[in-house]
Amino acid sequence: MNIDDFKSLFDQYYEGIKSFLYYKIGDIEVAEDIVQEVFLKLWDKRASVELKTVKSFLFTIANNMAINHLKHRSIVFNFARNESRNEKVDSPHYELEMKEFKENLERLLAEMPENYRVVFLMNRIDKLTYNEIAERLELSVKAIEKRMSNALSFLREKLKHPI
Amino acid sequence: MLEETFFRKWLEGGMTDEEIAQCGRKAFDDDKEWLAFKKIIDGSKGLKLPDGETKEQAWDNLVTKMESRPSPSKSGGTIVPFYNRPFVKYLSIAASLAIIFAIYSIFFVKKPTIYITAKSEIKKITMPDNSEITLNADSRLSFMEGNWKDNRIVSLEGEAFFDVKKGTKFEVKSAIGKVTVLGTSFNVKARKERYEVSCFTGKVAVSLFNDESEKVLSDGLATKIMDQKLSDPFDFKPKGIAGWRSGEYYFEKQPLTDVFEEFERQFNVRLQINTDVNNRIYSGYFNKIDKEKSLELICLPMGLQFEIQSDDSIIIY
Repeated sequence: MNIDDFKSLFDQYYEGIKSFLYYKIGDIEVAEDIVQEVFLKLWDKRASVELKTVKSFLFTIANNMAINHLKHRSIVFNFARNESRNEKVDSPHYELEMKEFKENLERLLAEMPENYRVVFLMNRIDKLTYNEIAERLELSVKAIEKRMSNALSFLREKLKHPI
Repeated sequence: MLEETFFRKWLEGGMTDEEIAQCGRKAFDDDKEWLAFKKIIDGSKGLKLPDGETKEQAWDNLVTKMESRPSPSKSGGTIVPFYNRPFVKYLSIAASLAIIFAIYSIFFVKKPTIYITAKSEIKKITMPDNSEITLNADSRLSFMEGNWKDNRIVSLEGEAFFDVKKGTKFEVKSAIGKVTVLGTSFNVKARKERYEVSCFTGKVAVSLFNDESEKVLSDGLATKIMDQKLSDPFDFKPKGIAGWRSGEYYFEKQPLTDVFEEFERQFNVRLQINTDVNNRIYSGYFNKIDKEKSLELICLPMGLQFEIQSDDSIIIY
């Protein structure tokens, strides 16, 4: 693997790994630090890593590093919103409701089991298909269906009975 | 439709609002139920990552860090637990065999003769047939002394000058390629990815292990590795190639990084280079007599400054 191969892998996976880490950790700065560590690890091991297993190598390392970090942290999400507004419903009332909903969602996502959360957000934010998520996490598509359904039910239940 | 399949089709964007309503009514008893899911799914659609550094900034940061990393090792990482690795069991078999072989070889096999030079050391070796090999600093040469006359094969890592007496085939093997001769004098430089052979007298044949084609050099011609292949033979200046034997180092349009590497090797010092010297080309000369003078000879024409911190540490900036 030379520097050009490395750069193209970086271009291909940087965003995916950064968001994966953010979903697990809930801190964008830490996620960014860990992405750097993940790619440095790949650079150090470039002599022994094969191109066809690079993706799983990157996600495995990211996963392990996130676990290490999470051992002594609690999670607080703070997502941004896409500024795509719907004119018809863009009333102050709607704005307020969405803001409230987003805050609720962030709190619930932090409470949600991590397994469900990562799958859910990979679809909602990264717009990945179930197949793509399964591939990244090295799980079966069935497992993704299960987790996604659990994630939705989890949110549904919590929203039904707000604390 | 199963709930999970319904969600999948919905989340992957394969359904219109009408279809969602239709399936939603079928899947759940109460309209409130699927409308609640709709709120979650629509409400989470607009989320995105908080603003952080851009990909370009991340890359720049990464490159700065990469520069201070050691070169890659072949050893495995810490990703997979040791006992889970598929090769571990084979490794244990291999290890047992290696031990048996080691015991066997201590008693029964003749060991190769090995010469290793430290940094700043040059060694002259006379072979059993009076061929002479001069080994440059930080290099390693090995051969089997027992049947030398019939089997003139040496292994080389680093750089050496060979003056070979006429006789059977004489072969110099390095990691990348080999040189085959009958009787002649030539220089081999085999350091890391570099491989360069220069023929002084007679004829030599050079080939790479990953490429069958062979280059035959007559006196005054050299070849070196370029794009994983041996270059066409080119003229070289004997003093430039073999000057090292008398402590003189000549460079003609060489990467500055190579020149600094040679300097480190010959003076056994570490250069701390605090400025970007990649892609700079140097032509010039230094000798082994005077470290400071030699530094001046390299740095001055390149517009660089240096500071000698201690006997073995020098800063270039």
